[in-house]
Amino acid sequence: MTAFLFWNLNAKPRSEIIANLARRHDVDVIILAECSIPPVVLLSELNRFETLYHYSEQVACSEIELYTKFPGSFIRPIHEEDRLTVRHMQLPGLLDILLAVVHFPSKLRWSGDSQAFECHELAGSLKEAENRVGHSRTVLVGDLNMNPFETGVVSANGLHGVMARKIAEKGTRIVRGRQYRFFYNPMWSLLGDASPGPPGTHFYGAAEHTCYFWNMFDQVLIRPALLDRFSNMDLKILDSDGRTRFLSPRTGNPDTKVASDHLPLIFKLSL
Amino acid sequence: MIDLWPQELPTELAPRAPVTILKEQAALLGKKTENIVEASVRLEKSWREEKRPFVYDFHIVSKPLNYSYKVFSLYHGFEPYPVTFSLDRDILEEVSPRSDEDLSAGSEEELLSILSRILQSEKIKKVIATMLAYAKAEAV
Repeated sequence: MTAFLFWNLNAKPRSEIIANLARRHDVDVIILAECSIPPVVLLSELNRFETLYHYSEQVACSEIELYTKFPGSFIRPIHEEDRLTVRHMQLPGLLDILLAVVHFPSKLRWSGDSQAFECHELAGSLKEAENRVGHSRTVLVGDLNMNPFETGVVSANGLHGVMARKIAEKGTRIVRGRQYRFFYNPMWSLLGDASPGPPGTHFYGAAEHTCYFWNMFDQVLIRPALLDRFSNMDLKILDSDGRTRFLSPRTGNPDTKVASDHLPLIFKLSL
Repeated sequence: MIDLWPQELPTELAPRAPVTILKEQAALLGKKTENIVEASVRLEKSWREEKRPFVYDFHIVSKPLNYSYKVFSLYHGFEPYPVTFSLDRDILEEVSPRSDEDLSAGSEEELLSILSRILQSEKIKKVIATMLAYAKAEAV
Protein backbone atom coordinates (compact mmCIF):
# COMPACT_ATOMS: atom_id res chain seq x y z
CA MET A 1 0.00 0.00 0.00
CA THR A 2 1.17 3.51 -0.79
CA ALA A 3 0.19 6.00 1.90
CA PHE A 4 -0.45 9.70 1.28
CA LEU A 5 -0.78 12.43 3.89
CA PHE A 6 -2.29 15.81 3.08
CA TRP A 7 -2.34 18.72 5.51
CA ASN A 8 -2.98 22.44 5.23
CA LEU A 9 -0.66 23.77 7.91
CA ASN A 10 -2.02 27.30 8.09
CA ALA A 11 1.65 28.41 8.04
CA LYS A 12 2.23 26.83 11.48
CA PRO A 13 5.64 25.29 12.26
CA ARG A 14 4.49 21.72 12.89
CA SER A 15 7.58 19.73 11.81
CA GLU A 16 7.47 17.41 14.80
CA ILE A 17 3.81 16.52 14.32
CA ILE A 18 4.34 15.91 10.59
CA ALA A 19 7.25 13.61 11.37
CA ASN A 20 5.17 11.78 14.01
CA LEU A 21 2.34 11.31 11.51
CA ALA A 22 4.77 10.13 8.84
CA ARG A 23 6.26 7.48 11.14
CA ARG A 24 2.98 6.43 12.75
CA HIS A 25 1.21 5.87 9.40
CA ASP A 26 4.27 4.87 7.37
CA VAL A 27 3.52 7.67 4.91
CA ASP A 28 5.13 7.51 1.47
CA VAL A 29 4.02 10.89 0.14
CA ILE A 30 3.62 13.93 2.40
CA ILE A 31 1.69 16.77 0.75
CA LEU A 32 1.56 20.15 2.48
CA ALA A 33 -0.33 23.34 1.72
CA GLU A 34 0.35 26.71 3.35
CA CYS A 35 3.68 25.33 4.47
CA SER A 36 6.18 27.87 5.76
CA ILE A 37 8.67 25.31 7.07
CA PRO A 38 11.97 25.44 5.17
CA PRO A 39 12.71 22.07 3.51
CA VAL A 40 15.99 21.74 5.42
CA VAL A 41 14.13 21.99 8.75
CA LEU A 42 11.39 19.53 7.89
CA LEU A 43 13.79 17.07 6.27
CA SER A 44 15.96 17.01 9.37
CA GLU A 45 12.88 16.22 11.51
CA LEU A 46 11.55 13.61 9.08
CA ASN A 47 14.94 11.94 8.82
CA ARG A 48 15.86 12.23 12.51
CA PHE A 49 16.13 8.48 13.14
CA GLU A 50 16.58 7.19 9.61
CA THR A 51 17.17 8.84 6.25
CA LEU A 52 13.90 8.16 4.52
CA TYR A 53 12.45 11.27 2.96
CA HIS A 54 13.33 13.44 -0.03
CA TYR A 55 12.09 16.92 -0.82
CA SER A 56 10.29 16.79 -4.15
CA GLU A 57 11.04 20.03 -5.93
CA GLN A 58 8.43 21.85 -7.94
CA VAL A 59 9.09 24.01 -10.97
CA ALA A 60 6.36 26.65 -10.82
CA CYS A 61 3.79 25.80 -8.14
CA SER A 62 4.69 27.67 -4.97
CA GLU A 63 1.55 26.73 -3.00
CA ILE A 64 2.26 23.06 -2.40
CA GLU A 65 5.21 21.15 -0.94
CA LEU A 66 5.85 17.43 -1.36
CA TYR A 67 8.13 15.10 0.58
CA THR A 68 8.49 11.51 -0.57
CA LYS A 69 10.14 8.30 0.48
CA PHE A 70 11.54 7.96 -3.02
CA PRO A 71 13.60 10.29 -5.24
CA GLY A 72 11.87 13.10 -7.10
CA SER A 73 12.49 11.41 -10.45
CA PHE A 74 9.67 8.97 -9.58
CA ILE A 75 7.12 11.73 -9.08
CA ARG A 76 7.81 14.36 -11.70
CA PRO A 77 5.56 17.36 -12.27
CA ILE A 78 3.96 17.28 -15.70
CA HIS A 79 1.68 20.28 -15.36
CA GLU A 80 1.70 23.18 -12.92
CA GLU A 81 -0.16 26.36 -12.20
CA ASP A 82 0.31 28.68 -9.25
CA ARG A 83 -2.13 26.62 -7.14
CA LEU A 84 -1.91 23.23 -8.86
CA THR A 85 0.74 20.61 -9.35
CA VAL A 86 0.07 17.44 -11.34
CA ARG A 87 2.66 14.72 -10.74
CA HIS A 88 3.21 11.57 -12.75
CA MET A 89 4.06 9.05 -10.05
CA GLN A 90 5.90 6.08 -11.52
CA LEU A 91 7.25 3.76 -8.85
CA PRO A 92 9.16 0.70 -10.03
CA GLY A 93 6.93 -2.35 -10.27
CA LEU A 94 3.79 -0.41 -9.32
CA LEU A 95 0.92 1.02 -11.30
CA ASP A 96 1.70 4.56 -12.42
CA ILE A 97 -0.79 7.27 -11.45
CA LEU A 98 -1.35 10.99 -11.73
CA LEU A 99 -1.30 12.75 -8.37
CA ALA A 100 -2.91 16.16 -8.68
CA VAL A 101 -2.68 18.51 -5.72
CA VAL A 102 -4.60 21.77 -5.53
CA HIS A 103 -5.06 24.60 -3.08
CA PHE A 104 -7.99 26.75 -4.11
CA PRO A 105 -8.52 30.37 -3.05
CA SER A 106 -10.33 30.90 0.22
CA LYS A 107 -14.01 31.74 0.47
CA LEU A 108 -12.89 34.98 2.10
CA ARG A 109 -11.47 36.08 -1.25
CA TRP A 110 -13.55 34.21 -3.84
CA SER A 111 -17.30 33.77 -4.28
CA GLY A 112 -18.85 30.33 -4.70
CA ASP A 113 -19.46 31.17 -8.37
CA SER A 114 -15.79 32.00 -8.93
CA GLN A 115 -14.77 28.78 -7.22
CA ALA A 116 -17.15 26.82 -9.45
CA PHE A 117 -15.73 28.44 -12.59
CA GLU A 118 -12.23 27.64 -11.38
CA CYS A 119 -13.28 23.99 -10.96
CA HIS A 120 -14.09 23.96 -14.66
CA GLU A 121 -10.58 25.23 -15.41
CA LEU A 122 -9.10 22.63 -13.07
CA ALA A 123 -11.12 19.84 -14.69
CA GLY A 124 -9.76 20.95 -18.08
CA SER A 125 -6.16 20.90 -16.83
CA LEU A 126 -6.63 17.41 -15.37
CA LYS A 127 -8.19 16.08 -18.55
CA GLU A 128 -5.33 17.45 -20.59
CA ALA A 129 -2.74 15.90 -18.25
CA GLU A 130 -4.58 12.56 -18.46
CA ASN A 131 -4.62 12.74 -22.24
CA ARG A 132 -0.88 13.39 -22.21
CA VAL A 133 -0.01 10.31 -20.13
CA GLY A 134 -2.64 8.19 -21.87
CA HIS A 135 -4.68 7.10 -18.85
CA SER A 136 -7.03 8.49 -16.22
CA ARG A 137 -5.65 6.84 -13.09
CA THR A 138 -5.83 10.14 -11.26
CA VAL A 139 -6.12 11.11 -7.62
CA LEU A 140 -6.98 14.70 -6.84
CA VAL A 141 -6.19 15.82 -3.31
CA GLY A 142 -6.04 19.18 -1.65
CA ASP A 143 -7.75 22.04 0.08
CA LEU A 144 -10.57 22.86 -2.30
CA ASN A 145 -12.02 25.48 0.05
CA MET A 146 -15.38 24.01 -1.01
CA ASN A 147 -17.54 21.31 0.48
CA PRO A 148 -18.22 18.07 -1.43
CA PHE A 149 -21.80 19.19 -2.11
CA GLU A 150 -20.91 22.54 -3.70
CA THR A 151 -21.57 23.21 -7.37
CA GLY A 152 -17.95 23.31 -8.52
CA VAL A 153 -17.17 19.93 -6.98
CA VAL A 154 -20.37 18.21 -8.11
CA SER A 155 -21.16 19.68 -11.54
CA ALA A 156 -20.34 17.71 -14.67
CA ASN A 157 -18.30 20.56 -16.15
CA GLY A 158 -16.57 21.04 -12.80
CA LEU A 159 -14.89 18.22 -10.92
CA HIS A 160 -17.88 15.89 -11.31
CA GLY A 161 -17.30 14.28 -7.92
CA VAL A 162 -20.09 11.94 -6.88
CA MET A 163 -20.87 10.38 -3.50
CA ALA A 164 -21.53 6.83 -4.70
CA ARG A 165 -18.84 4.51 -6.00
CA LYS A 166 -21.33 2.67 -8.19
CA ILE A 167 -22.18 5.84 -10.10
CA ALA A 168 -18.53 6.80 -10.53
CA GLU A 169 -17.78 3.31 -11.85
CA LYS A 170 -19.79 4.16 -14.96
CA GLY A 171 -16.73 6.19 -15.94
CA THR A 172 -18.37 9.09 -17.73
CA ARG A 173 -21.69 10.86 -18.14
CA ILE A 174 -23.05 12.71 -21.14
CA VAL A 175 -24.70 16.09 -20.64
CA ARG A 176 -26.02 17.91 -23.71
CA GLY A 177 -23.91 15.78 -25.98
CA ARG A 178 -20.66 16.34 -24.07
CA GLN A 179 -18.93 13.53 -22.20
CA TYR A 180 -17.59 14.22 -18.71
CA ARG A 181 -15.35 11.93 -16.63
CA PHE A 182 -16.46 11.16 -13.10
CA PHE A 183 -14.53 11.40 -9.88
CA TYR A 184 -15.57 9.36 -6.86
CA ASN A 185 -15.64 11.62 -3.82
CA PRO A 186 -15.33 9.46 -0.68
CA MET A 187 -15.37 12.53 1.56
CA TRP A 188 -19.19 12.45 1.54
CA SER A 189 -19.00 9.38 3.78
CA LEU A 190 -16.94 11.29 6.36
CA LEU A 191 -19.35 14.21 6.78
CA GLY A 192 -21.01 14.76 10.13
CA ASP A 193 -21.22 13.05 13.49
CA ALA A 194 -22.09 9.53 12.37
CA SER A 195 -18.79 9.24 10.49
CA PRO A 196 -15.86 7.45 12.13
CA GLY A 197 -13.74 10.58 12.68
CA PRO A 198 -14.29 14.32 13.20
CA PRO A 199 -17.33 15.83 11.39
CA GLY A 200 -15.13 17.63 8.83
CA THR A 201 -11.62 18.95 8.28
CA HIS A 202 -12.15 22.63 9.02
CA PHE A 203 -14.33 24.60 11.42
CA TYR A 204 -15.71 28.08 10.85
CA GLY A 205 -18.50 29.46 12.99
CA ALA A 206 -19.71 32.68 11.39
CA ALA A 207 -22.41 34.92 12.82
CA GLU A 208 -24.65 34.62 9.78
CA HIS A 209 -27.84 32.73 8.93
CA THR A 210 -26.26 29.92 6.91
CA CYS A 211 -23.34 28.32 8.67
CA TYR A 212 -22.20 24.71 8.36
CA PHE A 213 -19.71 25.10 11.25
CA TRP A 214 -17.77 22.03 10.14
CA ASN A 215 -16.56 22.00 6.53
CA MET A 216 -14.96 19.30 4.43
CA PHE A 217 -12.63 21.61 2.52
CA ASP A 218 -9.80 19.08 2.38
CA GLN A 219 -10.72 16.30 -0.01
CA VAL A 220 -9.51 13.31 -1.96
CA LEU A 221 -11.22 12.49 -5.25
CA ILE A 222 -10.47 9.33 -7.18
CA ARG A 223 -11.06 8.52 -10.82
CA PRO A 224 -13.00 5.34 -11.65
CA ALA A 225 -9.86 3.75 -13.18
CA LEU A 226 -8.31 3.65 -9.68
CA LEU A 227 -11.33 2.62 -7.66
CA ASP A 228 -10.36 -1.04 -7.44
CA ARG A 229 -7.13 0.17 -5.77
CA PHE A 230 -8.89 2.18 -3.09
CA SER A 231 -10.90 1.11 -0.03
CA ASN A 232 -12.93 3.64 1.95
CA MET A 233 -11.44 2.09 5.09
CA ASP A 234 -8.08 3.54 4.00
CA LEU A 235 -9.18 7.16 4.17
CA LYS A 236 -9.19 8.96 7.49
CA ILE A 237 -9.36 12.45 8.91
CA LEU A 238 -6.72 12.54 11.64
CA ASP A 239 -7.28 14.24 14.98
CA SER A 240 -4.03 13.17 16.65
CA ASP A 241 -0.47 12.11 15.89
CA GLY A 242 -0.48 9.75 18.86
CA ARG A 243 0.97 12.41 21.15
CA THR A 244 -0.81 15.66 20.36
CA ARG A 245 -4.58 16.08 20.00
CA PHE A 246 -5.42 18.38 17.10
CA LEU A 247 -8.83 19.30 18.58
CA SER A 248 -9.26 21.71 21.44
CA PRO A 249 -10.39 19.87 24.61
CA ARG A 250 -12.68 22.82 25.39
CA THR A 251 -14.46 23.34 22.05
CA GLY A 252 -13.79 20.13 20.14
CA ASN A 253 -12.71 22.21 17.12
CA PRO A 254 -9.30 22.23 15.37
CA ASP A 255 -6.81 23.79 17.76
CA THR A 256 -4.56 26.26 15.97
CA LYS A 257 -2.43 26.66 19.08
CA VAL A 258 -1.10 23.12 18.84
CA ALA A 259 -1.84 22.08 15.23
CA SER A 260 -3.64 23.92 12.40
CA ASP A 261 -7.10 25.23 11.51
CA HIS A 262 -7.36 22.24 9.16
CA LEU A 263 -7.14 18.57 10.08
CA PRO A 264 -4.86 16.28 8.09
CA LEU A 265 -6.09 13.52 5.78
CA ILE A 266 -4.48 10.17 5.20
CA PHE A 267 -5.36 7.75 2.42
CA LYS A 268 -3.81 4.66 0.92
CA LEU A 269 -3.81 3.15 -2.54
CA SER A 270 -2.90 -0.38 -3.50
CA LEU A 271 -0.81 0.39 -6.59
CA MET B 1 -24.36 47.23 -62.00
CA ILE B 2 -24.87 48.70 -58.56
CA ASP B 3 -21.83 48.88 -56.25
CA LEU B 4 -22.99 47.62 -52.89
CA TRP B 5 -19.68 48.28 -51.13
CA PRO B 6 -19.34 51.22 -48.73
CA GLN B 7 -18.50 54.54 -50.39
CA GLU B 8 -15.53 54.97 -48.07
CA LEU B 9 -13.58 51.97 -46.89
CA PRO B 10 -11.70 52.33 -43.60
CA THR B 11 -8.06 53.12 -44.18
CA GLU B 12 -6.84 52.65 -40.60
CA LEU B 13 -5.62 49.21 -39.78
CA ALA B 14 -7.66 47.31 -37.21
CA PRO B 15 -5.77 46.63 -33.99
CA ARG B 16 -3.91 43.36 -33.99
CA ALA B 17 -5.78 40.56 -32.29
CA PRO B 18 -4.37 39.89 -28.80
CA VAL B 19 -3.85 36.24 -29.74
CA THR B 20 -1.56 37.32 -32.58
CA ILE B 21 0.64 39.18 -30.11
CA LEU B 22 0.68 36.23 -27.72
CA LYS B 23 1.61 33.85 -30.51
CA GLU B 24 4.40 36.14 -31.73
CA GLN B 25 5.93 36.25 -28.26
CA ALA B 26 5.40 32.52 -27.72
CA ALA B 27 7.29 31.76 -30.94
CA LEU B 28 10.37 33.64 -29.69
CA LEU B 29 11.08 31.54 -26.59
CA GLY B 30 11.97 28.30 -28.38
CA LYS B 31 14.60 30.13 -30.43
CA LYS B 32 16.30 31.32 -27.24
CA THR B 33 16.44 27.86 -25.66
CA GLU B 34 17.23 25.56 -28.60
CA ASN B 35 13.55 24.50 -28.37
CA ILE B 36 14.11 22.87 -24.97
CA VAL B 37 11.67 25.31 -23.42
CA GLU B 38 8.91 26.76 -25.57
CA ALA B 39 5.73 28.73 -25.11
CA SER B 40 2.32 27.96 -26.51
CA VAL B 41 -1.04 29.67 -26.77
CA ARG B 42 -4.23 27.66 -26.59
CA LEU B 43 -7.77 28.77 -27.27
CA GLU B 44 -9.99 27.68 -24.42
CA LYS B 45 -13.72 27.75 -24.00
CA SER B 46 -14.72 30.41 -21.50
CA TRP B 47 -17.29 29.66 -18.85
CA ARG B 48 -16.61 32.77 -16.84
CA GLU B 49 -18.55 35.45 -18.57
CA GLU B 50 -20.57 35.51 -21.73
CA LYS B 51 -19.32 39.05 -22.31
CA ARG B 52 -15.75 37.74 -22.61
CA PRO B 53 -16.13 34.65 -24.81
CA PHE B 54 -12.53 34.54 -26.04
CA VAL B 55 -10.00 33.01 -23.66
CA TYR B 56 -6.43 32.05 -24.44
CA ASP B 57 -4.12 30.16 -22.10
CA PHE B 58 -0.42 30.99 -22.27
CA HIS B 59 1.79 28.04 -21.31
CA ILE B 60 5.51 27.51 -20.98
CA VAL B 61 6.26 23.95 -22.00
CA SER B 62 9.18 21.58 -22.28
CA LYS B 63 8.75 18.64 -24.63
CA PRO B 64 11.84 16.79 -23.32
CA LEU B 65 10.39 16.98 -19.79
CA ASN B 66 6.76 16.45 -20.88
CA TYR B 67 6.01 19.46 -18.66
CA SER B 68 3.72 22.46 -18.97
CA TYR B 69 3.13 25.51 -16.79
CA LYS B 70 0.12 27.77 -17.25
CA VAL B 71 1.31 31.35 -16.82
CA PHE B 72 -1.96 33.17 -17.45
CA SER B 73 -5.30 33.17 -19.20
CA LEU B 74 -6.24 36.17 -21.30
CA TYR B 75 -9.92 37.06 -21.84
CA HIS B 76 -11.65 39.45 -24.19
CA GLY B 77 -15.04 40.06 -25.73
CA PHE B 78 -16.04 40.30 -29.39
CA GLU B 79 -13.92 43.43 -29.57
CA PRO B 80 -10.20 42.67 -29.14
CA TYR B 81 -9.81 45.25 -26.36
CA PRO B 82 -10.02 45.53 -23.42
CA VAL B 83 -8.35 42.28 -22.39
CA THR B 84 -8.08 40.84 -18.89
CA PHE B 85 -5.25 38.71 -17.56
CA SER B 86 -5.91 36.00 -14.99
CA LEU B 87 -2.35 35.65 -13.86
CA ASP B 88 -0.16 33.37 -11.73
CA ARG B 89 -0.36 34.83 -8.23
CA ASP B 90 3.41 35.05 -7.70
CA ILE B 91 3.83 36.99 -10.95
CA LEU B 92 0.87 39.22 -10.12
CA GLU B 93 2.57 40.12 -6.82
CA GLU B 94 5.72 40.96 -8.76
CA VAL B 95 4.20 43.06 -11.53
CA SER B 96 1.38 44.65 -9.53
CA PRO B 97 2.37 44.46 -5.88
CA ARG B 98 -0.35 46.76 -4.58
CA SER B 99 -3.33 44.94 -6.10
CA ASP B 100 -4.60 41.39 -6.17
CA GLU B 101 -7.11 42.12 -8.91
CA ASP B 102 -6.79 40.81 -12.46
CA LEU B 103 -4.79 43.09 -14.76
CA SER B 104 -6.53 44.72 -17.72
CA ALA B 105 -5.27 46.36 -20.90
CA GLY B 106 -7.36 48.74 -22.99
CA SER B 107 -5.10 48.85 -26.03
CA GLU B 108 -2.35 47.00 -27.86
CA GLU B 109 0.21 49.30 -26.25
CA GLU B 110 -1.02 48.46 -22.76
CA LEU B 111 -1.17 44.76 -23.61
CA LEU B 112 2.47 44.85 -24.74
CA SER B 113 3.46 46.70 -21.58
CA ILE B 114 1.82 44.16 -19.25
CA LEU B 115 3.05 41.21 -21.28
CA SER B 116 6.57 42.58 -21.15
CA ARG B 117 6.44 42.82 -17.35
CA ILE B 118 5.07 39.27 -17.09
CA LEU B 119 7.63 37.68 -19.40
CA GLN B 120 10.49 39.53 -17.70
CA SER B 121 9.34 38.64 -14.18
CA GLU B 122 11.68 36.85 -11.81
CA LYS B 123 9.32 33.87 -11.61
CA ILE B 124 9.34 33.33 -15.37
CA LYS B 125 13.16 33.53 -15.39
CA LYS B 126 13.33 31.03 -12.54
CA VAL B 127 10.88 28.61 -14.17
CA ILE B 128 12.75 28.68 -17.48
CA ALA B 129 16.10 28.23 -15.73
CA THR B 130 14.75 25.28 -13.75
CA MET B 131 13.28 23.64 -16.83
CA LEU B 132 16.54 24.06 -18.74
CA ALA B 133 18.52 22.59 -15.83
CA TYR B 134 16.18 19.59 -15.54
CA ALA B 135 16.23 18.98 -19.28
CA LYS B 136 20.05 19.12 -19.34
CA ALA B 137 20.23 16.71 -16.40
CA GLU B 138 17.89 14.38 -18.29
CA ALA B 139 20.10 14.46 -21.35
CA VAL B 140 23.22 13.40 -19.41
